[in-house]
Amino acid sequence: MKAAGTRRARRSTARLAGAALLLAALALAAVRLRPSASGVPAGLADLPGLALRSLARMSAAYLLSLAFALAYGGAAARSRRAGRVLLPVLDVLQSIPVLGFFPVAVAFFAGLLPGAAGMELASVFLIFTGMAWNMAFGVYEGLSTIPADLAEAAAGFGVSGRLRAMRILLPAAVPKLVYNSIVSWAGGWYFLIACEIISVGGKRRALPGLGSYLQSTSDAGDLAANAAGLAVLVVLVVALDLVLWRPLSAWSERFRYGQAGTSTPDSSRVLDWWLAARGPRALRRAAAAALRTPLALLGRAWDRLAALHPRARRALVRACAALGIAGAGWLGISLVRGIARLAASPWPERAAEIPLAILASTGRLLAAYALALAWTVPVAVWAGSRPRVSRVVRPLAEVGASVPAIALFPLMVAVLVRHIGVSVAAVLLVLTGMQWYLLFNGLAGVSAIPEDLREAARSLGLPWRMRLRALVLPAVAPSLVTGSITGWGGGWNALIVSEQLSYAGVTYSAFGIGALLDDATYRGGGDPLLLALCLGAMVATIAVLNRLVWRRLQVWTAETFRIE
Amino acid sequence: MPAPAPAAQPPLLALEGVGMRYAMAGKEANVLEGVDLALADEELVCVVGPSGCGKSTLLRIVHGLVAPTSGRVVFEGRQASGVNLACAMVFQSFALLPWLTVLENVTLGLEARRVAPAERRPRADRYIDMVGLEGYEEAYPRELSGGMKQRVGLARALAVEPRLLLLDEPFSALDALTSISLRKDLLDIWASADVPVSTVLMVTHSIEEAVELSDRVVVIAGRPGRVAEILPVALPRPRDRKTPGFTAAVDHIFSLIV
Amino acid sequence: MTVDPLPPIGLNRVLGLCEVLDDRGGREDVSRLARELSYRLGDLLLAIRAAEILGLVSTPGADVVLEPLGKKVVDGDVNVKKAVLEDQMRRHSLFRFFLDLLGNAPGGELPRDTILEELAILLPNENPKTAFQTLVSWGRFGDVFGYSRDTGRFFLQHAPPRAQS
Repeated sequence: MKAAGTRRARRSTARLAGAALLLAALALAAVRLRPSASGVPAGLADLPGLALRSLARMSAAYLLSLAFALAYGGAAARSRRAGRVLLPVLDVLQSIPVLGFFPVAVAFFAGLLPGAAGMELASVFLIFTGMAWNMAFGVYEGLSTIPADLAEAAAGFGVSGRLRAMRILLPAAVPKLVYNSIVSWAGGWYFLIACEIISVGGKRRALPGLGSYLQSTSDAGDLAANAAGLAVLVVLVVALDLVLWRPLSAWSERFRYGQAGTSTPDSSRVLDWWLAARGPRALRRAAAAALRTPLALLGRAWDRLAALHPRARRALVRACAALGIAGAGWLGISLVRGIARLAASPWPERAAEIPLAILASTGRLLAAYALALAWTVPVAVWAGSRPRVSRVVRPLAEVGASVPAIALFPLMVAVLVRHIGVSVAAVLLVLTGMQWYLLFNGLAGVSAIPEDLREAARSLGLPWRMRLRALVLPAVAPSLVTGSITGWGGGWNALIVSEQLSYAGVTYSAFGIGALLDDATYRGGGDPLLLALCLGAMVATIAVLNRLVWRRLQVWTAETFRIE
Repeated sequence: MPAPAPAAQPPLLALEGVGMRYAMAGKEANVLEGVDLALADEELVCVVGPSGCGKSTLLRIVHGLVAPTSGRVVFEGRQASGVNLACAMVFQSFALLPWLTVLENVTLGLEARRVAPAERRPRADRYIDMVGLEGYEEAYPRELSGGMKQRVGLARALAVEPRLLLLDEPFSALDALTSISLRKDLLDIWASADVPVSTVLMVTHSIEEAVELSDRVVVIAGRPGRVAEILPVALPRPRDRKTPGFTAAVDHIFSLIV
Repeated sequence: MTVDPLPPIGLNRVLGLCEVLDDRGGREDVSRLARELSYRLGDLLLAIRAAEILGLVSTPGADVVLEPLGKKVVDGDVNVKKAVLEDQMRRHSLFRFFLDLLGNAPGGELPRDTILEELAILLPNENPKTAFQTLVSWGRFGDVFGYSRDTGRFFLQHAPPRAQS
């Protein structure tokens, strides 16, 4: 027995060592591949390194978002009082377009840490803001929809502390988390590239990465190199999807409480390989061995926390709340100070343009929305009810959504703007920011139509027009509304960067709030008051639209077209 | 001279060598094999068998919702393909559209068959009354109990006046008292002269229910599911579960399945 | 005016109960019935109470007995069932109250909220929403009341009661 034990021990040390070596090798490769100087990216050979850097930024932001989402969403789900404060705050945060705050964030972080480090922080922070809110919502939704009887049973059996977290809470959060992670990464690429591009245009300090590569090649008019950069981006996105997201999504299916909509679950050959083949199994065992002690320590700490005397727990919660309030207070004070400074500046004459600009931009969004609905709804209806087709369409849509349209802007400008004008081009560019959310939600909604309702429709002999009117469209309405809400959010973000475009040294701009914002940030050293006014007007518009139109629509469709 | 014997009626429905094979998750499953069955007019036939033996699949093959991988379905002497609109189905999970009222749910099938608009309301009303839901026309499914929802499902199926009524475990989602009430009403409706449909094929997992209701019981057993036996039940209706004939039939069927 | 509540149970189950009793010769011990039907005793008692209120059964001792009216319901077709139940419902104090109230209301209808308020006052120990649901369900069955979710109106069905066959 002892001999076998030592053999096992030796094998696991060997595995541990192997895992450590592998990690070290990866880290070295990443460091080695770092491009030379900041700013001016070189030729094609640098592409892999640039791609890795962009990937590293995304991963950092994602891990931060994950931690935030679990903590924030968990807190909101756990205590109703906390939820009443935390959720509306999240709601507000979610309706603020990320890119609108880009110049502010850059100024803040650049002030904090000089040079490239400050810019990196700014970009990571921005990607974080693009990911964190909807992931937190996902965690909250997952945790708050644990079926009541399950929760009761668990409580009755005395399942608490770490066991409860691992076996009940985490699995409840996983499916939504995975789905939202996929959506967040798609959005994240969008913001990442935007950060890198905009920073080159405005501040002269470039973050080496795919985005800046694309921008500089388009500035130089080198369409071939630009295309190569785009190709690398697409390959990266597709590879991530195959290797990471699809297996995760297939794996998370097993945690779904209740029925899934389609009869055929997501299958992933990568997941099957990962679970079955010897190589990955060894890797997993090595990782498990490596993580066992730290996890055990964490587990014991968690158990100790959960077993705390309620008074101690309350004190802890109060301390965290106090910290949170203090942080919010500090933010508030800096905000007030900033506003005071702004109030002292002269009133910008362009401020008078703001109302009309908002109207113009909203008009563009409406046009893009109409176009998006016109094509996504038919495709969703057609593909969603055919499992084999949707298995092809969905990954295509995921790739489409992940390839940041912003990366295409330089190319699009060259072609579109010269021929059809900036205004229309802006609509098309906004469309690319909106349509994927509609398509995803539409597909999800259609494929979630219960099988028995479909059968009943066929059994009654409903022709396709009746099926659409009586079954599909009502059933998919709630999902379409959700998709519209996120789509309009994406649309606002896209709008900000598509109303003013530059290519080969020439700047084309359309009349709208996005262009105004751009001007306020960059033209002639920037006008902070104008910037603040534009932002305020935009956020106010978005908030009003959300309250008056979208929330009401959401409540109405969710109630009327609910399938129990 | 004695009158010549009437020509033998072709069966309303005939299944010849029907089989069903699924490919799922890379594996092939043979759900049904070699099913031969003939239904005559004015019969009430029940199909029983253990869970997963393919009886629901069989019903869907009869209706044409799925195509068998082997064998064929012959309806009124002609080979059937695609959804057979001379059949109508009642679903185990009721399958009502939640955003339509009772009346709208029932008229759905009529609209699909291009029944004249003026004719739709009276026809729907007739069948809504027949299942005992008069007064509920404007109710939404979520306001109804399970038993009432199933009555809507029944009215919806009857309203299209099918030649063959198909029921897929119609009472298994209902509690004991409700299903007793509904079962009795179903028999009353089937027996009454008012209703154009007179042939019923029902799938159930309750052997007692099958013996209580049917003229013949088709027993499916084994994997892949095969017809173990087709047992005629000649007891007079209304049937009493305590009579020896009843219990004998139940025991016999039970022995075939186990 | 004191008014009795309605047991929150659907009339399908009440009818089913009558059928079951008829099958067993018109009389059965309550706990035995619950056991043999695999029915929760609480739910069965609700059904029995409702059947008793409607005069279809009586409950001497630990048994439940099918009354002649209940037998008539079992033997009759859908129309007979409805007619008997409608007749019995109209005699119930809660029904009489609302028949009166709606009779005096313009158009014979009132909004749901008004009905809920009345129920809250009349039946302080019952949940008004559940009571409303039962009232609507029974009322629809007997063709006495109707309710439209779209308009939120609770209304009288046609005025004269159906003639019994």
